Amino acid sequence: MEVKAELLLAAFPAGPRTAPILQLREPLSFWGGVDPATGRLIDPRSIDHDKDLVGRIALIHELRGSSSASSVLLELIHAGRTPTAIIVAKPDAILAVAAIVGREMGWTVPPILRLDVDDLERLPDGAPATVFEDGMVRLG
Amino acid sequence: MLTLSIAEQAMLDGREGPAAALALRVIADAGRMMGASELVTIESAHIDGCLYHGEAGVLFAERLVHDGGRVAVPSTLNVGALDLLHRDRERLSPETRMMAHRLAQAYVDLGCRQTWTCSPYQAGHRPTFGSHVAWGESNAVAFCNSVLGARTNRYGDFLDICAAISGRAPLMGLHRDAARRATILIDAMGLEPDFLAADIAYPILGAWLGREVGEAVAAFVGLGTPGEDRLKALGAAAASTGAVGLFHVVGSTPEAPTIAAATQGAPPERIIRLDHAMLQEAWRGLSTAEGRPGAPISGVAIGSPHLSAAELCLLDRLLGERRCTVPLYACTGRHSLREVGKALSERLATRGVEIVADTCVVVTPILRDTSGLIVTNSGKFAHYVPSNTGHEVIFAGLETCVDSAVAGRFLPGDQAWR
Repeated sequence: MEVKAELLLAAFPAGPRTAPILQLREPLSFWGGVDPATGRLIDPRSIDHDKDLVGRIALIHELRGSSSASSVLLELIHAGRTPTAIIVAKPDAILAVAAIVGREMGWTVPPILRLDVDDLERLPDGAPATVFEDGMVRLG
Repeated sequence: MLTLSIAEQAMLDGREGPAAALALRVIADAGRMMGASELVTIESAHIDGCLYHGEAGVLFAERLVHDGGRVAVPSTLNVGALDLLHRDRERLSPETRMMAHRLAQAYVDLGCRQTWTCSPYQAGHRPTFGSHVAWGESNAVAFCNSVLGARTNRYGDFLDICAAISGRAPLMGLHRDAARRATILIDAMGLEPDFLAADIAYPILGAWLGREVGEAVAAFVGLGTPGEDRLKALGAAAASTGAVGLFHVVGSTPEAPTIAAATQGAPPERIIRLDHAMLQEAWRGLSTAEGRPGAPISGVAIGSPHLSAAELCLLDRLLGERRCTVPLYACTGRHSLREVGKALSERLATRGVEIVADTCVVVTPILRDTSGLIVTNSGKFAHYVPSNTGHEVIFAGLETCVDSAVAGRFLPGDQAWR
């Protein structure tokens, strides 16, 4: 199965990215929700508590909360502890700017893509997938 | 397609130096990604990026300084990780403290005003109605749009300073009329007047709003004319539990003299009749602990957003001659401390109030006990304490907060609406 996502921001350096899918259905706030040093989810009230973003294609259905999210993602980028790719349901400037700044600093940046929620739902949690440079997401 | 003006193209080409070019490149890329077709000239900025999160943010700010960066518009600073007025209050390692100082210095070197507050709108930064600005810090964004009627999107860290240096932001979202229209009408006329007369109602309303509408623009009907501190509490809670950047209060906020003005003449897509049962769920959601009366607490935290001078005076009145037996952390800005004067802050300090300035207890480690129960009257603290400090939290009104700090135990007095 494959689905074409809208490429919001290309990976840096360019190239396809392969990793297992991580479904994050509950609204996620990077600041207060993700440990900037480790990339683990730290909000004890979330059903996704203690999951690890690192090395996953993170499917974020809804983003919430603080404008410090950019800083958290930039720290993860600098530490090399980011998701392999990030797929959101809606373009989000706060996340994107971290990736833009990371690229300006010459650091490795995951691609950020957009898919409708219905398409997000069809990607099974845990399944390996590849995100290509044109935005194609292929399972397996 | 993003079109740049001749001046913007020149900036991008380096006419105003490498930092301005970098800043505009970031703004233009973000604008392109979000589908903006042009940039808008901004009049001021509020910078959230000065809070230390790690080395990466320091390296970026120092890169801007190194490249000759300078803010092009008046720019205030949000809270940092350090209480610059009360030294060594934060439990930070010497290395972290040094890095936080480096970050603060970089933003000062870029020309930002040292306000160090999440309530810049109470520290003299009051953009005029209808003006375009670029603000970070979600509560400040909500206040700026909703209460001042100036126009900003929720600018995250880095986008804020890049907007300040380039003097530009992508023309999209809440900068445009269309996105400021209330699509949801919230009828609050069924709520008890006694409830709405209490301060505690506003963070609860905000917490409910954020959960219910996410980032949609809603207009309340039937709230009367809550003062600025109540609107501040409502917006801060709504911007924590949701991504609310603008709300209207019909008859109170400047873009909502009437329902028709708030909805820009269009019928609302949704009407919600608010009742107490709906609010109770939001209220419960603000606490992680049940709040058994008499339960020992490790402290009380108030002041997110930073306390105004009026709120500091109210704290002083409620505390009276009593003394706190557990720390009552009162987070505020240097602007409010200047306004209330030294005598009041010294009196509070002798009664066991720990005044925290320039920062707050959820962004840097200040709380003395590292676990236990914290009581707060702030919807935003209630939202962030469990994940940021690891404490359990009980949300209650200010009187309960003060009584509990004096007793060292949770003493609920204002739970009538629960």
